[in-house]
Amino acid sequence: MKINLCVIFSLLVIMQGFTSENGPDTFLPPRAGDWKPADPDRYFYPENLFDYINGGAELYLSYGFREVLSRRYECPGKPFIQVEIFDMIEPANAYGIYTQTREEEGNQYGQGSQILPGAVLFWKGPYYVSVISEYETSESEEMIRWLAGYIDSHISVSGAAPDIVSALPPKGLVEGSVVYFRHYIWANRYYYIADGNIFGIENDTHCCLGRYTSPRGSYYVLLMDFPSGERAEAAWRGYWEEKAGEPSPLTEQEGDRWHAGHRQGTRMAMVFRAPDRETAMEMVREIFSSE
Amino acid sequence: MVAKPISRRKLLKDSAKAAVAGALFMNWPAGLMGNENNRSKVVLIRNHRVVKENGETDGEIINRMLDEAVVELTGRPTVRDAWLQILRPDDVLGIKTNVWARLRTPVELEQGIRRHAMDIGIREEDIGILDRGVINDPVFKRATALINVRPMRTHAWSGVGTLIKNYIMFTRRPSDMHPDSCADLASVWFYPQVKGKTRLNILVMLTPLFHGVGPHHFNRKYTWNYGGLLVGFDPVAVDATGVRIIQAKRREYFGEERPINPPPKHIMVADTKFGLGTADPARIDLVRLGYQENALI
Repeated sequence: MKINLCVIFSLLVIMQGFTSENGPDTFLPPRAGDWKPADPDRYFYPENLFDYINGGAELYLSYGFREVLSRRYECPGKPFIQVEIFDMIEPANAYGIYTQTREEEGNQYGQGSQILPGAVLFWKGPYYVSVISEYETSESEEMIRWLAGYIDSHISVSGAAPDIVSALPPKGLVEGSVVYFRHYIWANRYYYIADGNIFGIENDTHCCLGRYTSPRGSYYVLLMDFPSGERAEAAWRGYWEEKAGEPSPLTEQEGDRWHAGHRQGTRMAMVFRAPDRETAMEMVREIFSSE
Repeated sequence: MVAKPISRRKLLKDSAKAAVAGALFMNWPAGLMGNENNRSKVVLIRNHRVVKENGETDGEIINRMLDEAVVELTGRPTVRDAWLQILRPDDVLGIKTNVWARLRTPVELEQGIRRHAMDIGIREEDIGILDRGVINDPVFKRATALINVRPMRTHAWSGVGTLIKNYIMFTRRPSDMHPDSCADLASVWFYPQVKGKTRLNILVMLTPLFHGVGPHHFNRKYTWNYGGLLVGFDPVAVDATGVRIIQAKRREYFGEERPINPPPKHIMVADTKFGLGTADPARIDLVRLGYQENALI
């Protein structure tokens, strides 16, 4: 009986990796020019993603992640091409992962894409897609783009970026700088705020960061939508009491740079390193003008 | 309203440092114990030809760099004397390397360390070179000495891949180290298989990765030919020095402050909480050897 159960379980696991009607394997071509799949597709799940991307797994898990399909295309004498399709459960998660890897905004593939030497990364619906070559040749560069286009055209679903992203005022916002996240450690991406989770950001907290330009250098806006007003209030008090010693709508830091903040309802906004007090306050006003 | 400066680094002050300080080094040869001023020496040696045009490592040059570095570090007159101060002929040596496919420890360096160990009398069968699997490896299980060697790179969860982090493979479940962006990585250094055994730390800075992108956090675009090795007895001091170089490169590349994200807090915590070494640049004596143009530090 024990053997039978093991066999059944093994079959179920194997079947999970087989071609499914709408699974990510259906987004991939059977071959790409001279490149052919080298091995059976591999699937990884939250419990074993670490085995696949050592350390980096936590990034995906911090958003919410169902599975990743990994397929390697090989051609003798040419760099292999590694394709990964991450099913991030919902579009917001896929968008979030994409924003973590983006340096400049691109729209060639999916709902947003980043093209680097030897790599195309994009998101579409709940999927985050990575197409990377072992090393770069003109032929492999052409092929990774073709593959990205193929995958893009075979993903029929799409989805919206999280609402909070649209709350960032567009004026002065650096295109491609926006990062969406739900784990506190990403709050330091542009500007070092703190080591710990001083805002109480948890998986239920929608956050985004944006970088703004000014003649005196960059400044940064952090938006957080908490599930309750109490949590937002706690974040507000927690931050100012730790940093400034008292609840305050504005404080000065590093001589000529200004930080500002405001909380209203479930939303909290922070402006870091604004060039002057008026810019900081104006940004806060603009964020909450439509509330 | 009162304007107050924001304290940017509220470090872990209530640490267990006093409880563990000193325990780490109890197995070291006497010659390595001299740290009466509570300062750490780190040697930065660079050679702009160590990375060839095709990206391969020049084995002869990198081992010459290592020779110069250990002589400087130990203060001994010859390379052999230096290694005799670091290792004993009756040691069983585990060389903890890092084989991450995109930026691994150069094989030439691993073999150079093995050669030096054999030169001073360590038997070949008493030397192991391994990354994954150290916990069950027969040589590593009976090792009396460890040499820790790995490249520095940014890392998606711990901020940077460091010498401190390189020992994560001595844990049964590496993912257990991941909470709070791997803050407590230094705790591994006090595991029985590791504690007190590390004789030398070598942070490979030949082509460091200063920024990550994509699922595997790698793109050649974000590496550069730095051509360096950082060598020291104190892993925290070596890592802290490496991080300064990475941060400086990010500043240069992005044209503005762009903090390593997540913050590599495990380095600071290794100092303040675990007393593994010093992360404070003011207590690190940096000795520069070789080519120093664009050293970024």
